Amino acid sequence: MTKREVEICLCQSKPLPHSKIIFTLRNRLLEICYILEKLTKLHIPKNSFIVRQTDDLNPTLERPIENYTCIIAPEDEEEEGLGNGSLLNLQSGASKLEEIALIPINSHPDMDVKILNSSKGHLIYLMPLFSECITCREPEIKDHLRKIFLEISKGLGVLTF
Amino acid sequence: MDMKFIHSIGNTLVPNFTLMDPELLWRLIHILDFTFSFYSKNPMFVEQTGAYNATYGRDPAASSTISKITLEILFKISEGYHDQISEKDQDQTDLSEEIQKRINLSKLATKKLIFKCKRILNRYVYDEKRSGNMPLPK
Repeated sequence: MTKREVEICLCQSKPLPHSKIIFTLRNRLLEICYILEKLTKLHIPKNSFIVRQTDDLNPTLERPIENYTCIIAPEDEEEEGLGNGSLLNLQSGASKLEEIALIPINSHPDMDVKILNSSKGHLIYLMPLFSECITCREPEIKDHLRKIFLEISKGLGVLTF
Repeated sequence: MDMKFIHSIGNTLVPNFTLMDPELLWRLIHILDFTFSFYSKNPMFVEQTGAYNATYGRDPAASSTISKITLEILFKISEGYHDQISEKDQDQTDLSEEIQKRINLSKLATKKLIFKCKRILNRYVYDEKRSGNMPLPK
């Protein structure tokens, strides 16, 4: 709908038709692109994930799709907010490092954790979110997603054709 | 002052962080994590509006720059050992305790980083879902 059409509607006191309001800020788009690009190039240390196998995620066709996208453990929530970053907590030292340095994941018993524990494991971990991003409008983001999925397929050993 | 400090960390400490004492690096990672959370209110690098900045008297551009630099430093620390220690070597169990400690520190930075990226992407997906066909205000 053009600006002129909107003006005509307003002058004639007609109700405005439903119009698409797109308000993704440029800065926000840049930040998402920045993060996606950095994540694509990132090589994390091997075995950064601790995988807990659970029967709760046993896939059945009756189960709603949301359950499958949730391989992320509830412990992630501890990272929310400022609480965990409190400077007072710094006294505990690096001695407990082994306990806290791993990213917890609940997985299906049949899950192959080999690629998850490779240097590109973070892409697998964040894959449900990348899949959600596919439906966004911005072509820049889609281009980054394409590169990410290519990286994942490379990690899985699937050759391009 | 904040900007000078964060720039000095980025320019002097981070390129040489492999030489840093593990305890110091552990603290640096936590401080960076805290700094990022503190300066990146919803959404991250976007200029923050009104009340929040007025309350804390912060310059929005400086806040977004600090958030970006801290995240960049976390990225650097996360992959810092990839070039130095090959993936084969990382599998070996007989790595010295010092190297193992440093790899674990890198994992800690990775954990912080991935959770942050996850949160940012989550917010973006949520906002994207909310935008769409809406009636214009009368």
